[in-house]
Amino acid sequence: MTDWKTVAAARGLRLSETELTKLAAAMEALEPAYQALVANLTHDIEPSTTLAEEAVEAK
Amino acid sequence: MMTLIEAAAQLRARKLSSYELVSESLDRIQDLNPKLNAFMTVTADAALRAARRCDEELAAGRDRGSLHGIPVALKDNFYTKGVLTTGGSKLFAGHVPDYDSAVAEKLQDAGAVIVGKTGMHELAYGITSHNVHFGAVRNPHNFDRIPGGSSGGSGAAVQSGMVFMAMGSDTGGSIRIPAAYCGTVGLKPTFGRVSRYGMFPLGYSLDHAGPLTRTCRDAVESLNAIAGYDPRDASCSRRPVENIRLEEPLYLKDLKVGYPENFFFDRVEPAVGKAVQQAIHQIGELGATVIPVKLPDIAAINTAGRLILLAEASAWLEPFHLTRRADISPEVLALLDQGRLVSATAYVNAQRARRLLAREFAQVWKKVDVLFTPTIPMGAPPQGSSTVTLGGVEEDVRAATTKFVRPFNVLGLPALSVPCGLTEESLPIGLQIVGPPYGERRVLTAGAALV
Repeated sequence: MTDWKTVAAARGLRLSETELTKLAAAMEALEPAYQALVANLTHDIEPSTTLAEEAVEAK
Repeated sequence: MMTLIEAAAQLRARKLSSYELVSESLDRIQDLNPKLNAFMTVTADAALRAARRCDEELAAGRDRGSLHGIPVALKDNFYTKGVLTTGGSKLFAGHVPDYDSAVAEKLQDAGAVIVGKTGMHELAYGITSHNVHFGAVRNPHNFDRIPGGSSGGSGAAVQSGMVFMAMGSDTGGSIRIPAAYCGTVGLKPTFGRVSRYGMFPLGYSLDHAGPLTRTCRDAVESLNAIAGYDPRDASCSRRPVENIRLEEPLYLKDLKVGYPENFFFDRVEPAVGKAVQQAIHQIGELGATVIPVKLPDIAAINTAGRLILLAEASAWLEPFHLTRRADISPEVLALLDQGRLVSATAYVNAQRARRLLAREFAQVWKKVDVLFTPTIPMGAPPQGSSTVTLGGVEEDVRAATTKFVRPFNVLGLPALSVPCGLTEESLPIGLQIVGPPYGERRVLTAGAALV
């Protein structure tokens, strides 16, 4: 599990303990969803930001 | 209440003038805005001057089309030359652009009269339009309910008859959410169909611009005016623009309507599920073929969308995020803080997953022409509420509000919200109609058949 409080400090966020706890909880909640998202990615899948055109071609 | 097309017909028949239409619009804003807070800025003098010009042009035989002389509004994140444009943020509280956004240019070229700028969620980063800097926008159906967001002022302005059309932006549902909560039509076109030049960004690869109107045919006229390639927006599509004309009567016999078997009806307010089922039944009665479809993993699409948005929003706001924290609300700051923690690896992987999911979703269009889903699983929540219970499960209001709309920002697909009944609390229900890339005609045809 990532230590989000330490990551936050390293990224320059100067937050109260309450804010840090909330932030860490939000990031922790995202982690399993992220792991599931990337579980089936194969090396040949490149990032894309022009999805509409690509989806047309995929038809 | 008159529609945009009806007003345009009255103008051409010389039964009304643009000056009269714009004056009525300004009177209505003056009467209702103290209650609704739909407008942040009203440009009355400039609008009346523009209306006079429109009338003179029509009298001289110069007709710019359906929007000629029609009062419209822009969300306050579209740049307007010489007019305050805040993005709903204290960071830009005194920002007066020296150029127009592409949308403002195109609307003015089409003869539309801009009467002002509508209120919005701070930086378009939220769904309530409860703006701590500029006040809460209210839902015209019930002042104690949120109008939705982030284009809440546009939804309230159209629903209450202040204007015939108001522009919104949509990064995770921000056109369709206020359309559904306020009871208007809201169209998010295909990614790249409408230029975002001169629009404050939120998430570069998710941002769309589109109209909120009273009817689908009004949305058609609005889209025709604003669509098209613009080299100033790096993501704008070069694909030729179709000038959409809907048949009268509409031809629905060849239309295949997809009914999702998964995700979209899992946890919805009963009245919402019933209303959408009725709309599906109705389109079948009108001649369309209804086909059940199993959709790819929508929850995964939402996860990708959330990660991408967190990172992209924090990227462009980085210059302000750490140095001007006092000028950003705690709610938006929390999201920006989260975005700062999304790693480059996670962002790139989310974009890779997006490609894969889009490829999977494209298979849907081999079976159906459009999809019908609820826009939002419930009616507009009370102002200030943070959770909602759906199917016995407590959900965060923001997550519940966005879960059916965000996927189509990630996929870049055209998506329309049309009113389809009321909840038990007499709050509007939205039906979402989604189409393949550049399938705006199909989506609007299906919508026009029902509204």
